[in-house]
Amino acid sequence: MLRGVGLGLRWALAENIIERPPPELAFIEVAPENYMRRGGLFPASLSACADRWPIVTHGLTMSLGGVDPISPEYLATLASFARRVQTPWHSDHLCFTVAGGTVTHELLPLPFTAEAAEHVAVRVMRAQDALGVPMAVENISYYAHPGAPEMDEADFATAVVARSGCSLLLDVNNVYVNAKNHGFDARAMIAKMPLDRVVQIHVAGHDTSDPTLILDTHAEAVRDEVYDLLAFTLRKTGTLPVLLERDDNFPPWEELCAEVAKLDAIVRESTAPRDASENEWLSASALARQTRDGAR
Amino acid sequence: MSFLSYQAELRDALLASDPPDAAFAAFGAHPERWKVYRRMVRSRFADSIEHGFERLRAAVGADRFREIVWRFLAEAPPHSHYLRDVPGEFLRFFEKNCAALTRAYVLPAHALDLARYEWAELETAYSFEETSAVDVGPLDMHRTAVLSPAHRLIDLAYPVHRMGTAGHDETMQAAPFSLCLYRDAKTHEVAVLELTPVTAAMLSFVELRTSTLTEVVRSAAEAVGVTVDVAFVEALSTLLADLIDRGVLLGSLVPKETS
Repeated sequence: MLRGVGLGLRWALAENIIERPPPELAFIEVAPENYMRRGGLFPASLSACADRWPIVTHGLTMSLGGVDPISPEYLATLASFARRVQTPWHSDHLCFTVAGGTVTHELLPLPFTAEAAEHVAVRVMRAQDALGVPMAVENISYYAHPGAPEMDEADFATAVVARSGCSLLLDVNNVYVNAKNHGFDARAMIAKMPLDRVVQIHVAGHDTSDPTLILDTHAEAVRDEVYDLLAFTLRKTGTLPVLLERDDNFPPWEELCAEVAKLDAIVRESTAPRDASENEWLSASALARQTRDGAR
Repeated sequence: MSFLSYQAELRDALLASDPPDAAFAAFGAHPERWKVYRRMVRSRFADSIEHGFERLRAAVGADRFREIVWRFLAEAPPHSHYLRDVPGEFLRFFEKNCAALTRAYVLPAHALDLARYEWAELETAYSFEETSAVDVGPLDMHRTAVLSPAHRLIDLAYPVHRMGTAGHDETMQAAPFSLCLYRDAKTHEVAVLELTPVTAAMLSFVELRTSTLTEVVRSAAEAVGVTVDVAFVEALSTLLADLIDRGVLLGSLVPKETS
């Protein structure tokens, strides 16, 4: 069972991860698109990591909400990759990235409608069948919503996971960014998410240089508000694997290691047993996950 | 706006050369935020392409190169799931439209060679094909020779591989070169070999995997008008040893056992 704090395997971090890993590092997450159909240094780094840590895959371009068919070739290559690294699940985003044959390489927002939720759920089920591993969907940061929403983001995520049976990768930084950009309460949104379906959490930094629009850049340190939101989430879910996403503007390695250590402390502190009522909630949540895992 | 049309119209607004403001207003509230998506998508593609073609960008000029990138995104947007493939997709657009682009942007004569060379470097570095070790044995002149999949042969009209990373060379003169780019098996770095005409012909024939190495050597010598004499054979022996040492030449195909 995957636990603890992980790091994304980025080229700029690979040497330090392999040579000087933080002691708390428990798993590695990779974007398969960066490793599939690729030789040379990248797969060599991945192999070095796979020898030491569990690998979990997190895709970027499946386009679960797209109307273009998901590429069979992409799915077949991904299935092979997922088997090779023995990922416990494969995650991708609640968004579309492909339109009219163009792969935009951007997580573009879906309308929060029943039609879109149904569309995504059906594609998740098909993808899951093709991949042969359980799937999780991640809530994205969205800067604008197309048209008028029929529901909020939590209800949309709930509809997708309920219909498809997939899990949720909860990005608490994305919830925070969306809350600031769209004016809702982040904790209330987290509490409304299908927390019993969460298998992994993401945290990251964001850019606040434009006060009218926070950008989810993964290029800054995690902010205290996001650490607090993570602790709030973990107190409700119980222990879950937490990934620190850092994709750009890399700090000195010691700073990143300190972030990993801080996250590890938060995971431990937030999921330590407290009073009876909270323990009861945690047990129920953990039981739900174990039942699901058992069903796989 | 339907679910289907929203996605197509957003794609167009993100990649078009000069979409009207109304294109963004059509998506709902916050049209300025939809333009943020446009900036993010275009800059990600531009960064990927400019990283892949550093020398071409320098040779063409940063502003002109960026204009060509915008034309690529508007006219032949990327289709690959792999961002690292996008420079290759850009190269195909550049090759297809080279004459028009050269007229419009006054490109240097060696621009196309430079683009092809820079992509060949990347493609060699990314190459993922594998040759199974069980299919390859020691080099045998009477069997089919096998090259490492992580190589590219390329013919150039200009010596762009000798340019510095700055990309500027006002004195570049046309001169044909045949190159073999290969990825070092240990360091994974890409290295470049300048090939003589007979070596270039020989490696081209080896790539086809249709003849024994003896036949390949004979065909290559005939193609370039070289006499196969003692000196040639001695030089060939040295060449083959060097190519094996570099990992360019893996050995010879082992015949499949028949039951």
